[in-house]
This record gives sequence, C-alpha cells and structure tokens, in this order.
Amino acid sequence: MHNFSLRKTHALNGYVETVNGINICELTDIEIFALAIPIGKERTAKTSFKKYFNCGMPDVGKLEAIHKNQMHILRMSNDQLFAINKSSSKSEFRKIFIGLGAKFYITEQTDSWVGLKVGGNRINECLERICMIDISIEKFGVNNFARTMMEHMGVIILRTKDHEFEIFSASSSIKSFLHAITTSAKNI
Amino acid sequence: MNKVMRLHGSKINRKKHIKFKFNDKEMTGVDGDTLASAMLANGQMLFARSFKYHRPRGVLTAGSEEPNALVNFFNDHSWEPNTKATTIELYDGLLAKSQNHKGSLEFDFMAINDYFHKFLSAGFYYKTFMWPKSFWEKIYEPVIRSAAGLGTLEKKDDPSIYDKGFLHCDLLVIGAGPAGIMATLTAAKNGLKVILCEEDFVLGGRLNADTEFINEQAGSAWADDKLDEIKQFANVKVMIRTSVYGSFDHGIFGAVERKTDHIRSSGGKPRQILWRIYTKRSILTAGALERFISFGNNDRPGIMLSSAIRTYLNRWGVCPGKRIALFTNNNDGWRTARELRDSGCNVVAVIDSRMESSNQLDGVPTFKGETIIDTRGRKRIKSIELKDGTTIETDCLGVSGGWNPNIHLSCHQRGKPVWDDKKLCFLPDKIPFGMKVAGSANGKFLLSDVMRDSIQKTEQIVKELGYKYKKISVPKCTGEDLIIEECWEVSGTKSRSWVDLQNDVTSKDIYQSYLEGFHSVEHLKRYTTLGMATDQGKSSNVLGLAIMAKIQKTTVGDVGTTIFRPPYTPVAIGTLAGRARGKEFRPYRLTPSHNWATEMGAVFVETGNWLRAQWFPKPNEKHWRQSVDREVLETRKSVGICDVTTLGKIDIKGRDAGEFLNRVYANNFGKLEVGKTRYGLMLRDDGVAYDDGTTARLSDNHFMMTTTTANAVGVFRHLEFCRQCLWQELDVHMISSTDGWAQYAIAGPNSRKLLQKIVDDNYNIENENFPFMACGEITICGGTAARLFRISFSGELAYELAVPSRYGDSLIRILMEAGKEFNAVPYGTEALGVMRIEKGHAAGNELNGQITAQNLGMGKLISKKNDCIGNLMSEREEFEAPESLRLVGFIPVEKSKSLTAGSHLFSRSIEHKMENDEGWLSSVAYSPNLEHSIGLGFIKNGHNRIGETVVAVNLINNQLLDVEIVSPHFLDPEGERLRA
Amino acid sequence: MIINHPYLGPRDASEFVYKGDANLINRPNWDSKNSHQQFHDYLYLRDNPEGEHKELWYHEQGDRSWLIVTRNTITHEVLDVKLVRDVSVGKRK
Repeated sequence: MHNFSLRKTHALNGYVETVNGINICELTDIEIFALAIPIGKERTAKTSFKKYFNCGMPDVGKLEAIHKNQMHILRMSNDQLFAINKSSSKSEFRKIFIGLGAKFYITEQTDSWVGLKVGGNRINECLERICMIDISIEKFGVNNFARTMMEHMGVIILRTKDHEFEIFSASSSIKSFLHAITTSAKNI
Repeated sequence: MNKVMRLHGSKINRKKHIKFKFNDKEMTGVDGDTLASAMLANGQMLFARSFKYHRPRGVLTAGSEEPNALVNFFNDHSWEPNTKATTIELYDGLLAKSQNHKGSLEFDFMAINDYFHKFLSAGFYYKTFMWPKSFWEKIYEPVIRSAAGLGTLEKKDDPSIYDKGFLHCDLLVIGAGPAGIMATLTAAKNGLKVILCEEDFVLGGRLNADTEFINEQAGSAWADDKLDEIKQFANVKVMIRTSVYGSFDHGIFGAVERKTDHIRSSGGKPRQILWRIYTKRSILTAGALERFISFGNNDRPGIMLSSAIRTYLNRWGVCPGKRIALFTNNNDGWRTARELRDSGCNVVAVIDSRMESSNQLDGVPTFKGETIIDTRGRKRIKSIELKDGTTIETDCLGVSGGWNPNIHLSCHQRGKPVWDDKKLCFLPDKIPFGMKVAGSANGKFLLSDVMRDSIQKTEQIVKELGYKYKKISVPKCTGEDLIIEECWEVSGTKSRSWVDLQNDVTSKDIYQSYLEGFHSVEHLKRYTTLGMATDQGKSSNVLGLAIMAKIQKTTVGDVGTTIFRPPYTPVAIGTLAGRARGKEFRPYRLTPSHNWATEMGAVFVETGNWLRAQWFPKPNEKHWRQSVDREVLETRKSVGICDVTTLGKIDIKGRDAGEFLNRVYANNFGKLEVGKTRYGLMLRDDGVAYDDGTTARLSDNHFMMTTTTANAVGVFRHLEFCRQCLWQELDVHMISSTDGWAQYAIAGPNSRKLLQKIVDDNYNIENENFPFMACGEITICGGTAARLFRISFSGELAYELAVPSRYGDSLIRILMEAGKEFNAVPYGTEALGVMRIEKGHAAGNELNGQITAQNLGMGKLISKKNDCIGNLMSEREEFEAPESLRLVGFIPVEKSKSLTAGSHLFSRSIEHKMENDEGWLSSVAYSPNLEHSIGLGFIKNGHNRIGETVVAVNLINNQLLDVEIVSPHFLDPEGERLRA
Repeated sequence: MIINHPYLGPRDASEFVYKGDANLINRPNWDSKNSHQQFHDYLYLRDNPEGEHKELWYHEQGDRSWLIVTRNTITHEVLDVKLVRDVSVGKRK
C-alpha cells in the first residue's frame, strides 16, 4: 500500500490582480463539459436537454448563452454545446451530466481550459487591443459569447456583466494569454 | 535672431510660451504650434538639406505632405529621423536636429554634389557603376551607402512601446475638414456608429487655415462648435492624431494613432497604436492638397505653397516673410495675397500665368500672363526673375499650381482615378465597396459644394444601412471658384526646375526619361524616382505626369497615374510590429511539469509553440551528450520518466467512431477491442504518409487518438474535413484534449514496479492482466481518475500515464518520489530521440511529406478491403516498385566515426552526382548502449541490402563515410523487452 | 478580408484556414470502375477561374465548421458563404 496523494494546482496559481484599473482573476472553481449531439438523434437530445435543464436547447448560431443556476450553456457549433458550471455544488451537476450521458456524448473539458474573469470600467478599451470581434455592449450584450482568437490564441469570450467578461483559453498557453491581457490593461 | 511678430492665429494660445531647441539653438513658440510654425515664427527658414544635391531647403507645406522640412526628432528616449517638422506638435523641451548634411546645416560639405549635378541625373547609378565589376563591393557600394538615404537611424533597439487594436463602426469618416465634420454630424444625428479620424491634432482642416464663413460664423469657430456638438453623441468616436494609412479588403482600414509623440514623456504608455478598423461604410473627406509649379531654382528656402502661407498666417499667426510674392495659375494665389495684405503683411507682387485674370489688389504690382523663370538666394530666396526680365526682390514666394483631390485611399484596391480636363485634377473612380468620396477629395472646391456633397453622400450611406434619414440642411458658406488654367512648367530656363523636391527630381530628368525610352508612368517613376520618396509625391506626382504628357503631346489622363499603395503616410516598423517583439512574437505552451522541470535545471527546446525539457543536466555534466547518454542508459537499466503531454490528443466519440478511424487510418481499426491500443498510420489521399500515433479504444464508441506534437492541429483539421466534408453520414464527434491531460511516459524494466506503487490496488497491471498495447481508465493515488496505456516508444517495458492536467505537477513529483528506490531518472526529448532511433521508430524526420507506407516498410499494413484515405493511390506502380526507398538502419564501418543527418547515400565506387543518389540519412544519434553512432535513413531497395556497405556523402561538411546497411531495430529486434 | 459566416456573422479571415477548391468535397467512390483515374483527377486537376471560385475555408478559431466560400478572384468580393454540412445535407449516402 502506498501513501501518495495528488494535489491540485491551478495553471496561474489562482491569479488575482488589478492592473491599471482592470480586475483580472483566474476562475479556479469551475467545470466545463462538452456535449456532442449524436447525428440523427437531435430530437431525442433536445427532449433530454429540456428535461434536465428545464429550458430549450439553444439553436445553432445562437450567440447568447443560457444562464441558469450559475451555469452557462453555449451552443458552440452544429453538433456541440459547452456547459460551464461555476456553482460550488458540483455533485448536482455531475448527476445531470450522468443523466444526459445517454443522449449526448459528454467529454469533460475542465482541464483543457483556464477561465479568466476580467472587468473594470475600461474593460472594453482593454480588450479592443486584442479582440477582433465587436464586443461593444450594443452588439455583444450580457450573456453573449463568441469563440475567436486573441494574440494567436483560441478563446471563448463571454460577457457576464456590462463591464465584465469571462474569457477561456487553452491551459497550456494560459501564461501567454494572461500576459496578453495584462499588457492590454497596462497599455490603455 | 530677429523675432517675427505673432499675429492672431485661430488655433494658438499666444500667451502660453513653449521653449524648444533646434540644432541646439533655443527658440520659443506658443501653444498650438508645430515645429515648423514655431521655427518660421523665429525667422528660421532653413530646415534641411535635400536628398541628392544637398541643396538648402525650407518648408513647402503645412501638413503631412511635406517633402522638404524633414528633421531628426527626439522622441521620449530616442532620435527618430525623417520626421516632418510640419506635423511635430510643439511641447516644452522639444529637441530637433537637422539631418542629411556633413558639417553644419549652414555649411554642408556634401553640397558639392550640387555642382556635379550634370553627372548625377536620372539613371546615374545604373550607368556609372557598371564597371569595373570588382569595384562594386569594395568601393562603389560602401560610398553610395554612406551617402544614400536621408536621416540616419540610431542603430539601437527602439525603446518605445507600441500596440495595436481593433475598432468597429458603421461609418468611418476620414479627415475632419468641413466635409468630414458635416458627414460625422449627419451620420451621428441619424444614429450611425461613427468613427472620425483626423491626422492633425485639431479638427477643421482648411477651415482653420482659411477665412471662410459658415452661417455667418468664422470657419474655425464653426469647427470648434461642431466638435462640441459631435462630442455630445455617444455613437461617435473622434480620433485626432490618427492617420488612416490604408484601405483594405471588405471595408477594413488601417490607422496609426500617435498617442505620446506630442508630449515630452510617454510615461510608459504606448507611443503609437496601429488600429484595424472594421467598417460597414466609409467616407473619404481627406480634402485636397495644393501642388507646385516647375520653374528655375524653384526649391529655395522661402518658396512655399500659397495655401501653406495662408495656413501659417491664419492658423498660427505667422507671416513667413517681409516681402512676399505669389505665383499662381488660379484664383487661390490671389486669395493668399489678399489675406496677407489684409493682415498687414507686405505683398510685393502677384504673378498670374493666366492672361484673362480679372483679379487685382490695390497697391500690389500684378503681372498677368507672366511666369517666373528663375530665382536667386542660396540659403533663402532673395529675388525672382520673370520671363519678361523683370527682377523682384522677395524673401518668400507662394506658389499655387492648383489642387489635387486627396484620392489616395480610394485607389488602394487598384482603383484608377480619372482626369478632369476642366478642373485639371484626378477625380476618384472605381471606388472600393462601401466607400464614398466627398468634398474637395471629390473635386468640390467651393465650400458650399463641399458641404452639399458631404451631406448627400452621408444621406445615401444612412439609407443604404437601413436607417430612416433625418434631413440635415446645407449651411450657408462663403467662397470663390478656382478658375484654373494649365501652367505646369515654365520653359526657357537654363536653371534646373524641380518637380519632386524630396527625391531631387527635376524636369530635365523627366525629359531624359522620355528620351531613353521610359515613357510609361511606371517606368518614369522607377527611372527617375519621381514620387518614390516618403511623401509619395503628394505635391509633385501630377506635375511630373503633366510634364510627361506635354512631352508626349497628350493629356495627363492618357499618361495616367502609377498605382496607389498603402501607406498614405509612412508608418514606423515598430508600429507595425506592435507588441509582437522578441519573446512576445508568439505564445508559448507549457506542459504541467514545466515548473518542476525548471526546478530540476532542465534545458528547454522549442517544439512548435511548446517548450519541452530537452535534457536534465547534472552539476558534473559539462556536455549535453553526457546528460543524454546517462538518461538513456539509466532508463534502459531501470526506469526513466518523460513528459509526453505535447503529443496531440483527440477524443473521438460516436456510434461510427470505429468506422471513422478505419477510414482515416491506412490500417484497420474497426476490430480493435475495447481496452486495447493500436499503432495507426495516417496517409494523405495521394498515398504519402501524413502522421502516425497510437489510438486507444476506451469503450465501444469512445477512442483516444494521439498524433505527433507537430501535426496535432493539422490532424484535427484533417479529421474535421473528413467528418464534415466527406462522410457526413457517420456519427462521429471530436474534441481536442491535448491540454486537458498531463501525460508521462514511464519506461524501463522497473516501470511496472514503479507504477504499482501509485496505481490503486483494485487495478491489476501485471503483464497477464495488462499486456503490451493494453489501455484502461484507472484510478491512482487513492481515487484520482487516470488513463493508463501500455505503449512504448523507447522499446522498453513502458507505459504512458495520463491525469487531468491540474494534477500534472503533483504527479511528476510523486513519480520521482516513488521512483527513488529504482533510481528513476527524468529524461528529455533528446534521450527520447536516441531511444526511438535505437528502436527504429519513424518520427517527424522520416515522415517528411515524401515518404510512403511502403518506404517505411509498412506497405502490408494498408487496408485493401475498405475505403480509407490514401489506400487507393498507394497502389500506384511507383509506390509498389521494388526499387523504391526503404527505411533501414545505418552504422559507420569505422565505429569511431559519427554519421551526419542529411547525408546522401551512394553505392561504392560510383560518382557522387544527382543521378546516382540512392537515398539519405534522416535521423542519427550516438547510441550509448551500442557505444557508436547509429542512424535511420532511406535507401533504394534497402531491406534487401542488409550488410552492404555504401557511402554517406555530406557536401556541407565534406564528409565521405563508409556506412553499413543494417536492420533499423538496433536493440531488442524481437520486442521482448516491451512485452515483458 | 472578412468572411460572413452564415451563423456567426462577419468574421476576420485570420480566424479561418484556407484549404483549396471546393471540389475537394467530391471525393470519388473508392470502388468505382475507373477509381484510379478519378482519384488522379480529384487530387491533381484544378480549375483556375477568373471570377467566381468556390473554395473551402475552415473556421478553426470559431465553430470549427468547414465552409464553402464563393469568392471573385478578380475583385476579391465574397459572394456567398455556406456550411459544407448544410450544402451536403441532401447528398447523404
């Protein structure tokens, strides 16, 4: 018998900092699940989705995420949804995903991504240095999201408040991504 | 220094004094000045030396089109050469120096060039430095290089910070003169999201430079009021000091915003920002620029454009001379004369080339139908000589040759402007989609026409974008028509007549160009360098074309223009680079063991974006080979651990996932059992090997594919192509999980024992339960989910263990801790490479895009029973030919010698030329187990030539080496170790 | 350059990766009579039209969809953008 136990580390060691008025914080307690919709079984998937989430499944091209019980559900593509769970009660959601598992192909993505919460009055000015898409409040309201790229790195950007976004990027390059954000904050 | 009185200026604060230095000379300007206006106010008319002849030069214009007044400008921490004095905003403590002279600005030794001008005409270099050939490198080139160019760089890193950004709008308004202001207001009131860009630091354009009235209000005051009004709109963003330098595809514009050039210190902020502006519509309201006339010695300091004199007078309250003369071919010269006289300045003459001009000014001598043939005065103009022989003393001459609409940005997509014979200017044509051109940029020279045109064009835009249009009325404006008549070049002078001041191109050069057969404008430009300077010929191009038209006895329209290209004004390389400098050029990817590896003193190597540990040196190891040899030997002796997280990992799910893999791999996958892993070779559809890796079946409809590190992104893209474009009927879904898992290879005879210390007891990984190529989802360290694969790249008994990447750092530390009793070593990519060569595994060096499955000796793997990518084209004769290349091993006949990768292989006693080439060495290494150099490579019919000696030829290090063809499996050819 | 994604709206071309002629989606049948000839043509023969050209782009930094973009090779105008999946729905085997 052995007595080794694995310790969790966060890619950015739980980074929290205010840089030139921009608040930047690593989201350390989230789960991300990818749900793939089986081809030819879209209708069953929809029904099942409704049963477990108590709302309709977002359509392809829907740019607004569903926001329920501290979870965001994003329609990423034709056959894929992302569920980002920020609730502290993870077990309940695990149950949902076990239930959904029969109708979707579910792949946990928590470790593939790191989320950063970024906010502040000048957050749009900060992000316009690296974000190609139009994230002005008129075009990109609360709960709108997009998958795009910033500084050559793929991201999912989600607006959570008028002056706050959550941005998810690949965990392996997250230090470069954080650098891109802090540089943008310094440069405004 | 004789101080010139400051008059009233529309955009200066005369009470606020600003001190600055030009060539170490203290001068004083006022708030709102540019360096040029302040220097003129201080009586400094000599600004620079010209490019080729080192002639004394003053200032010609009052804007970014300036060809003459280029200075070296101290910006924050460094000197920036070739900066236009006409655009530098004055601040307290500003430093500027003149450039392009040896000795002082006043006494430039290089001015000797001016006396040799007869030899320095167009084509001089091409003709003169042809021979002797040997002189070129040692004499001509160094001399020309030291003399060429304008300013000199400091040759240090640019200390400034630069950045870039992205903006979006419905309408981009380019230029904030009357048309731009009107367009902005019209669009703003109609609810469009507008960005207004102005290169100047004040809005108003020529309204500040002229004395027109709008709705009975002075133009400059009207502009101020309108700016206040514009600022009330939340849907408008006004960007001053911002030059739109290029118009690109689909409504994208490039712009440079100068953030800190106008203040003494940047305070750690970016100096300039390169903006990419996405627009639905754009309106070009960049106004027009006055052009020059060619006459004898027309380049002397004190000779300016007539409109520039008006700008210095009205905007900055500076009268640039005590005896001012005007030379014009239209009414605009008269306007300058009148305003000068009304301000109390001394106008000594107006020379109007038109016979029928009705203009006159009381008390000012007027010469109608007359032209200037020559001028005198070396460092400043002293007098002019008219064609009729009259000499007039003057210290400042204003020239008005008419106006060129600023159509540059409307032509960046190869639009060709059209010549207007009446207005004598090019007008925009074939404008890019989404753009409109309004105001004087569109050839409207009367202020009321400018306003009307701008409102009309904006109305069209508002409607095109689906907004309901609210009517805006056209303001009442003063103004008069130009009534221009052709006068391009004054003939009959013996002196040189300049056309392009910045590149020292004279009218003689244009004649010469014609005589030598360079008739087309593109040839003219390149032969004479007309318009090729940093001002891109804004004041000179049309003049040059007109002279060429005259020579060819045709119209300017028939001569045509050269192609307009971005940038409109020069953009610093630093600005284009933005923040992507040095290590910030691209992102880095780090594996979960990176911190640990750094602590261990690992040497890292870049593989793609990844940083991977290359080897782990011990303190006593002096050479990398010592570390690598040790890592290999220790691993083969006991156990070694290597981070293999970087391999691409693709999670594949779906009812048809098995069938999908069957089709994307050349070898069969459909029958792979759950809990098993298989090597897969991926071909391209043309039969060439693309990638390889192992794929594990974790459940009926769940596979885990690995790809090579280098091809991870490409393979994913390829699989998406197959899934979406070729076989939509298959239920298969993919997601990349490369970043989701930390994966370690644990290799060596003690690897199982090590793993058994951390794998939870309910999982039996003994050989019989978990044999070679087994895989499974397990738990380790008391319940943490993990994946275990019994695969081996090293040829040893080996496993790959994956945990969610959040546990990656912890796992490597635990593995090393648990491995202590086995003397476990970490090994890097070099040792990994050595071991795979020892084992004869192909890798990136072998899969180079030319190699087939047959070349790799894997021809028999290719599935013949079903459709898969590449199998059909693999059947091509050439692919199956027995003479084709085969992957085999190589060892030097003389064991002490080292093989060199890239060497080409030849049969013995045959000439080493291309036709006899039989193959090459692709990967080589020193095998610490065999204690000599080994290599993998391809040679014709290799598998049937084992034991033969051939010659490895490397022409780079002139190495000829006898090598023996051997089996590629240098160690454990039967694979007993990995099955142990 | 902008590609107007049918679901996501106009996106900068740098989010996309170019592959080539849209005809690449018409991969020949593996077991048809003259499949070798067909594959040869599929792999090596391309039109090089002046004007309208249908080509494949992959929205790598977006929804990972493969798109057929109809582009004018002279004016660079993008005339039409469709998902391959949507175009091929009726053609499923």
